[in-house]
Amino acid sequence: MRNYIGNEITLMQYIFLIHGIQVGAGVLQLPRIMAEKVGMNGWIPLICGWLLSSAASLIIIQIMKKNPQSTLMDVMTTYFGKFIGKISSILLLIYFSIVSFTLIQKSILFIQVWLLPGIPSYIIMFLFSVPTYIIARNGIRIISRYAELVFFLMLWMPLFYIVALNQNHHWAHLLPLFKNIQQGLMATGSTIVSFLGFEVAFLFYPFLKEKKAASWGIIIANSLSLLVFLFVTISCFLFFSPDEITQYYEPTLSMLKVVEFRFIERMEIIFLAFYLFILSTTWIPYMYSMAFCTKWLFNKGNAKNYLLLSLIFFIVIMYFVVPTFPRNDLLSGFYEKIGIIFFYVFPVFLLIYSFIYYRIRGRITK
Amino acid sequence: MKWLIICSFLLFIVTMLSSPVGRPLNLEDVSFALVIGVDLDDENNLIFYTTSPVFKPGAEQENKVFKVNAKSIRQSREEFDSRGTGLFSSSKAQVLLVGQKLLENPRWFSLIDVLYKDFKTTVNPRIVAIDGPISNIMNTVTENQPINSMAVKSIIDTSYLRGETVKVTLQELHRQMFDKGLTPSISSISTSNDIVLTGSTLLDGKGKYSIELNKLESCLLLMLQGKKLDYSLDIPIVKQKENNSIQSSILSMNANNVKAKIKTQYINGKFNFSIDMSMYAMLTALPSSYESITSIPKLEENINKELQLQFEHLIKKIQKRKIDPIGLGLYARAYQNNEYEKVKSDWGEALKKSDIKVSVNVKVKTMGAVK
Amino acid sequence: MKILKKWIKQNVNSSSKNIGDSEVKMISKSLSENLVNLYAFFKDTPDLIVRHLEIKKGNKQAVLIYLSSLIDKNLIHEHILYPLINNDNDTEMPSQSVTIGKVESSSTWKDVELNIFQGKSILLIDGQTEVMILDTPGWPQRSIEDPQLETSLKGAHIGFGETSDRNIALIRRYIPNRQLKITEMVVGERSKSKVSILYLEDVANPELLQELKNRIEQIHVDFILNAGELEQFIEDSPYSPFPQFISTERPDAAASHIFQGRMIVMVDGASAVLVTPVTLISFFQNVDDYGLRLLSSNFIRMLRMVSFFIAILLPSLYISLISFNYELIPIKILLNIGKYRSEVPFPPFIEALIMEISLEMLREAGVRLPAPIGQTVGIVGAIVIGQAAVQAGIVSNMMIIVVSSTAIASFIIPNYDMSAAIRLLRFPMMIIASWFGIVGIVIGLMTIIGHIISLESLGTPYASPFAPIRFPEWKDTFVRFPLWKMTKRPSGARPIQVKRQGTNGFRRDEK
Repeated sequence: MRNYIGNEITLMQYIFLIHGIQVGAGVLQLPRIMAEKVGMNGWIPLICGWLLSSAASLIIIQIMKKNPQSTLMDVMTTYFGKFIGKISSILLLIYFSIVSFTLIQKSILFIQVWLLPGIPSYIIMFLFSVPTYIIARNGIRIISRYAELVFFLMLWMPLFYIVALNQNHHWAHLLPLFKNIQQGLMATGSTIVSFLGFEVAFLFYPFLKEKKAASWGIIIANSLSLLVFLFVTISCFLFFSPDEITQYYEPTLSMLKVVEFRFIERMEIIFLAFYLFILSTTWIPYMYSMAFCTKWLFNKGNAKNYLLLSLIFFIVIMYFVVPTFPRNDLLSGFYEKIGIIFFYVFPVFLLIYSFIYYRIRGRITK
Repeated sequence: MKWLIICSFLLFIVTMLSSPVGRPLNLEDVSFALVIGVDLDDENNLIFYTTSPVFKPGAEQENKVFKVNAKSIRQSREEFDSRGTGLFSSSKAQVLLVGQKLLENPRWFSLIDVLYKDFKTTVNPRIVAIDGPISNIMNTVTENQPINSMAVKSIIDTSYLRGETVKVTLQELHRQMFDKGLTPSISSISTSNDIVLTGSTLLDGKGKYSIELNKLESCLLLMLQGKKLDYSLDIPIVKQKENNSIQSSILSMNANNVKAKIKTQYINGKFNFSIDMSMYAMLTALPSSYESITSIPKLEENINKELQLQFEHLIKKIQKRKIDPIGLGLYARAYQNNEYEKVKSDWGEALKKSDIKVSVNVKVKTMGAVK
Repeated sequence: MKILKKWIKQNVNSSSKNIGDSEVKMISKSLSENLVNLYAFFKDTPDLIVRHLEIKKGNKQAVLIYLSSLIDKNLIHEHILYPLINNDNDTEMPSQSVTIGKVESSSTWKDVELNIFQGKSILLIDGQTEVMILDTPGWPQRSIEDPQLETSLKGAHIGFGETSDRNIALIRRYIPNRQLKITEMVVGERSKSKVSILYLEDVANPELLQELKNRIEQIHVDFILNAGELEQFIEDSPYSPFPQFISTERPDAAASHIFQGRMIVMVDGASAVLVTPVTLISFFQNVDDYGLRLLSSNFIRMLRMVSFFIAILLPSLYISLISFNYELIPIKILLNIGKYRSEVPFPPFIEALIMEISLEMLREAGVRLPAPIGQTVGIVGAIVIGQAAVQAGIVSNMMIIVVSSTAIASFIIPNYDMSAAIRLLRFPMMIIASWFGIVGIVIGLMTIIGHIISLESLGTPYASPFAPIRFPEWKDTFVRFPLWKMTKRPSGARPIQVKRQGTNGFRRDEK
């Protein structure tokens, strides 16, 4: 059993860590996707997604509760043996690397098209790597402190939406309220991927100081993310007409274009620049998870060095394969499918197995 | 290990310096297109106008006006670039002027599509319809400079505060164009003598020019849309014959706290809208025919009647032309969704057939400082 | 590389030879032999006074040794020589006739050497192997003055001196409590500086105290001249721009830190003391804040916070707005700025760099110049040179305003080290803003924040109460809550006794 004590995070840090991962680049396109699939009742799949993701998170916590000092890979080793444990760490490694690469690439694309048109992607990747390395090299403690801090620093962002809404809001857009319930339920498939982020609980459960509150914590994190998603989606629905919202790729940002003050205009630029903080809380934990899995796999070396290597690797990839939105969408689609299988479907089976396992073990020891 | 990091870092900085990083476009090399104008000339060719300030040292600042023929805004930008001293950027455009001739062509909206697609442009320029050719307004010289973009923008913004015209930005226009239950309305300026605001221009569902509204009608339209402004109304009352030319027949009041409650129903195969307008008024000038009225309720009754006449006149006007600048389609979609879905492809027709009733309830706050 | 380091270390250690390294270690019974050894050890020391005397009682030969520059002559003449030479009462021990307060004895030459250089006088008596070490310090000291770098408005106008005894006295005046403990250590092979650690035993965390002691014990250098040098040897991240110790010259500030559970490190010979462990917020708190009225001190506190951000961000914001994101600027200001920019040939980054560097040079020159010239040059430099630069077309008016606001903002920070750090951080932010615009500023902020939250001061988190967020401690960060509400000590120093107040204030609500 490896020793994970000494690197502990508090409950609030745990909540904001997970919430920070969930709220990221998806928010920017979410209202359009909802409107395309369900029309103005796009808030229905969000609530369903929240229910499903809370359920999945609770299942994960139940699994981890039985082995408080283990990460998922230790759990797999305990249940299935060393070989399966190593396989699971390799799978997790692949998943986390794809996810972090996709997310960083998406952030780079957004920054490139909205803010910095002329600059090549690998340079922006390098720019992002500097704070990523400084924050992630010290472990999950510093990463969760960062997530906590960013949450409070970015609390002013909804105010912009309220200012934009002040100019132009039509409650009539939301009515009738329950037109497309069936379509809404079917669109839940797209929203459950927005809530992906709780899977780091698989890895970082041992670091939580107050393990009893883990279930509450993860539900609070999911609910906070739901609030953010709902706020953004409903604001966009109020602002844009149902016939025009599907025309905008990122309605979240386009909506802010109308916000103007006497001393500053074009607020969406400032908003997007500071949104980079929120985007960073999405990919930094994933990159650290990748380094963590690598360290677990090889059982030697420092997570720091693996992190550095992977950052350099990403920069080199982006030099040769320039990111574009279609390529990024391909990768997204791929990791979303894997994510659903790994973290919505698989934990159910693992939980059932763990019940059986402890039953059998209990009988044997008796 | 540390040396490796430092060496790769330095190598990277060297690569970075050779790329376009660190060589941004300087402010003084950019020409900001403050006014964009689009029109059709007599041979139905597109003309584009722009005015931009010229940055030069010294206290004198001047604006230059450019006029080119082009097929699209994008192409016009290239033409402007070859004529002006800087790279043209429309990210600070203040107003977009559209000539009346152009408005009669229903495809004019596709021209400005590029302003929405580009990430760097702003969606806040006000749209103004000019009656007559734009060249009039562009060549108007105020003081010793050609048209000052700020002047047009402030005319519109300040008039909007009194409710004399609609204020439509590009963003708002996009919404009005795309929403099937709404037709667009834009401000209008005439240039016969000077730059004068005349009210609003209404377009039909496809974006083609439909009809003009004067200032009073624009006021009423804004009230029906439910916008909270300090309205300043001048209602002409024609009762008896006037012998004296100074005898006034205008009822002036400042109205605020205007509420428009719209109820939507579907009865007998057509939509039924009943609009309840309520407002608080401060009277500023009474017509001579009202001088005999002493009690406030009677006064309010008269004012209600007059306003109702005006509203109905406006509504008949728009119903006749099958347009819906008020946005009644939104209410239909919200409250009578099933019926709306059947007719949404031709909402104008459905609106023409529908029943729209307006009732006005004015509460007089004060009759002014003197009797 | 490692071999090189080892070799250097060896040389340092062996450079200072003590007397005890040679054969003669102990005092001998024979006075003449002692004198021979004495003259051999202390060659070429003309201020070493060797006074032969005969003790009246017992008619013994004795020698009084002292360094005339370090002792108090009055004490020697009247309290040592007079009683010894003239006293005739019944005591056998000369130590009872000497009327000095602190008397020790020793029998090694090592101690003799150590104590002579600390201003003590040595009494060698013929026939005894033990010498008496008499405490007679009297080196030149300056009077108590207002500290130079930290002016106080309403607080006490005293500052630490260079003698640690007097400094300890000043602190004891504020903390007359037997829980105030002092741990003494010696640092520096040649300088033998006395380093004292002061703390409240029932409040300060014993783990942190032990950590501090360990770090100081591992210093092996020739000399430590001032507290700043000591700081660099024991801090967690010497390469970070942010200071991890507060250095203060005011006893009331030091006492207030001790009350919060922190530890004071005092170096003999330095007039500043180090406070540890500290958090980022403590650099923005000043002892005077608590003496001012609630509303005014809150206003000043918030001004400091705002000026922290202005000092780091303003030049970079200006550069990015002008070079990259001019769409953010409203049109009226933009036209004005365009006019200014067309007059200046340099890109905004070079312009900003020129102005900032000249300002730093002026500031540094102002420190070196004597007072009357320094003030004039400062004002002249700022106004005239700035104006002339604008007229010559090198910089624009806006830039002068930006740069001077930044300079003023950076001087508002109460702690000198922190304001130096902030001034330093401006430059990388400016560079990155000129390359990447506002995205660069955000990334720069991210890096600074990432660095601060991973920084530790003696093992405690530096960015507390923000990094591990602890809401109850926000009572003293951006605003200062009333004194009677601050019932607990801040947890940054991990004190073991947390509650520090009971119910306070007369019952206002009962009136």
